[in-house]
Amino acid sequence: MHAPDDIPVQEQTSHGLSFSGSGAEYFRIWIVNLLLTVATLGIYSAWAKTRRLQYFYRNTRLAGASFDFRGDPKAILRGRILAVVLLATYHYAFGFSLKVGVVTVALLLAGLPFMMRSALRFRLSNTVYRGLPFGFAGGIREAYIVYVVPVAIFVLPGALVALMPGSPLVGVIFLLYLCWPLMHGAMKAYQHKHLMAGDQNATFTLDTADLAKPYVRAFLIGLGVMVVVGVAVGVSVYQARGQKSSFVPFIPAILGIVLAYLYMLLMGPYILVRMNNLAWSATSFPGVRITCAMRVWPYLRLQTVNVVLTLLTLGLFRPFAVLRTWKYRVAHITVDAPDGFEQAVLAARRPPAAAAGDGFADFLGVDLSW
Amino acid sequence: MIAAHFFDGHDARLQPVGLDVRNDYLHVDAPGFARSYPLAEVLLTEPFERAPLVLRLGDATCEVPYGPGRHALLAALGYRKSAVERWQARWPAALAALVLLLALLGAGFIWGVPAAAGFIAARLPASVDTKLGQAALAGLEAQGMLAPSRLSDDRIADVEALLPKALPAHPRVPVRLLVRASDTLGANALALPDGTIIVTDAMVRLAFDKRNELDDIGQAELLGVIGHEVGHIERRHATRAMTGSSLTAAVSATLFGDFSAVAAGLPAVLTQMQYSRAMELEADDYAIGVLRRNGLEPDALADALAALEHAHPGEDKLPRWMKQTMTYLSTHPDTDERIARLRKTSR
Repeated sequence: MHAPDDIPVQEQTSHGLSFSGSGAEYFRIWIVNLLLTVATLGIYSAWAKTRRLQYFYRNTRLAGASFDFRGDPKAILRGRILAVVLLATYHYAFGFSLKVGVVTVALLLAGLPFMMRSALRFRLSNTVYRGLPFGFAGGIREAYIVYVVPVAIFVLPGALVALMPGSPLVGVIFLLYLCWPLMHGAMKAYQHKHLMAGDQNATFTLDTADLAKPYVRAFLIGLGVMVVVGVAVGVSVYQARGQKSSFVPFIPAILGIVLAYLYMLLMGPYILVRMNNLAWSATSFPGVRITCAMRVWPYLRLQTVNVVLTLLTLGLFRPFAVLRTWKYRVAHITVDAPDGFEQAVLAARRPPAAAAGDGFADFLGVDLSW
Repeated sequence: MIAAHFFDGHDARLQPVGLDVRNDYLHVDAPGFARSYPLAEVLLTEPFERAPLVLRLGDATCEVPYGPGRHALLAALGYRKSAVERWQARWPAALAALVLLLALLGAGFIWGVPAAAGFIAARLPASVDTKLGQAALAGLEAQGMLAPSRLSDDRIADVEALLPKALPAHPRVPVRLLVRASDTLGANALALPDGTIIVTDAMVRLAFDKRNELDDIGQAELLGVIGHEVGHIERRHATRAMTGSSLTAAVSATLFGDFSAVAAGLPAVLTQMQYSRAMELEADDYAIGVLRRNGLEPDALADALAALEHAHPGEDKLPRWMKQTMTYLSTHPDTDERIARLRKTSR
């Protein structure tokens, strides 16, 4: 159980994740997956998803071992059927009658937070590293606190429009979007705080407000952009006075509007990168620290190329884009174990079956990501 | 002996081991450690090109890093590729999958969705049509698109008198005709799913002769138009189109859901319009039947269409190539095409 004393242990303390998949190989997997999914009217999608996750996980290596996904495709299929039924019900409920609609919305509000938690449990407890599953220990009560407002934002507007068309209350619901940074931060915190590797609980050192900071910074940059755009439009209007029809005076306004669009395009990836870095770098397991150091501009460049090439190839670049993104994310995660990685992971044991098992999550492989 | 990493499934320790297959057993050996598993209990997961091979041995797992000896191990374990694995292993087969996929998607959207929509629509109760129609009318009125007609009562009565001539002996649903003023709709006629036909004032005026009277020719034109709308109602086009478009939307969202909203929305729009095209022509055929039954020639509808085209000349200014492309995109088939078709039937 221990290293012989006479061999000096010179163990590396810092490990990066590496990825060995290739775009060419994944393209072939993707296209066959897609064809079989279409040919079976979506039923195969559960198996396709399993194969996709296995391809990405098994090709991802950390300290001599690779990750793996062991989810049961049949459970994923059951989860998907449930999701389709729920979506269809929500879509048509108010067409049937007001009562059916209200009941459906109430059911969704009550059920979705629970399903979100189940999805986390399913995905993590079926992700395996070094023979041990990861896990998620978040409680049901906290799931409701964290998820009920975001779920309401997505579910309620449609319901309110059906219940009281033209009422100003519908607009009030949209005001809730202003709290989105906090909601997003709360969800991220919930997801990271309760991570488990084997029976080891993660430590998470940030709270919701810390995680919402990238939004604040994006907002401040946005204010700056608004000032610039305002000045540009003002200059245009001033210059255009008296001149009949010339294109030239409007150049500042056009540049300003382009700038505003660029801002909106850039902020999504900016927030994603910053939040991911914050969240992962604040997550640690006993003896193991994680650092995520993705960089905004390179990531932005990567995603721009991805989008452009995907559009130009009518979607055929999609598998390459997914793989490039995964590779980039994996390459920017470092795992530090000051006392040696092998030593640190020795603490982890298989979690007791009762804690790992989640009847609902196992039966219905609820997975809200496609 | 093939070098591998062994994980016992109880803790996270990585144990370097050697693997050997002998006498239907997989032997796992390390200094001070030896286990063997009957091959029947060894589960080999799908091997990817460069990923480690993963062997599941009950609770335990063995990972064989990429390297030489991999093929020997696969052969010794008696590994045979599944059909899907063989398919995705080779480029020609994978590209054939792409071609098949495109063919399948094309066939699905052209024949599959309309067939499924027809099947579903046929099973929807008539009350759905009624609700949809009432909702549509209420919507039009709420948006201020319809106002009471400004035509004289006699004139409205003339138009309403045309309806019974356009109806079959046993209509599928009770049909009523409303004459309404509408600035936004212009000269137009529409059929709502519940059997309500709306004819705009401008449409009626279009059929007037030089003295602003509704003569026989004008009545024949309006009868053609009303017959066309009755055709939509009798064939239940609105409900079918709506079923089809929601079905297409659902299918595309499922397929391309992770791609982009634009890509997901486009096929729905395209097929919905494709439906309407086929349906317009079907409704024209119905109108031809109505006109013939009343001893009139389909030319009357062609004249009405020509007058409509004249009243809404916007589309005519487009270059020819664009118009041709638009034919396949537009809700209504190219009016010229329909007029030519009607005139051909008249002869």
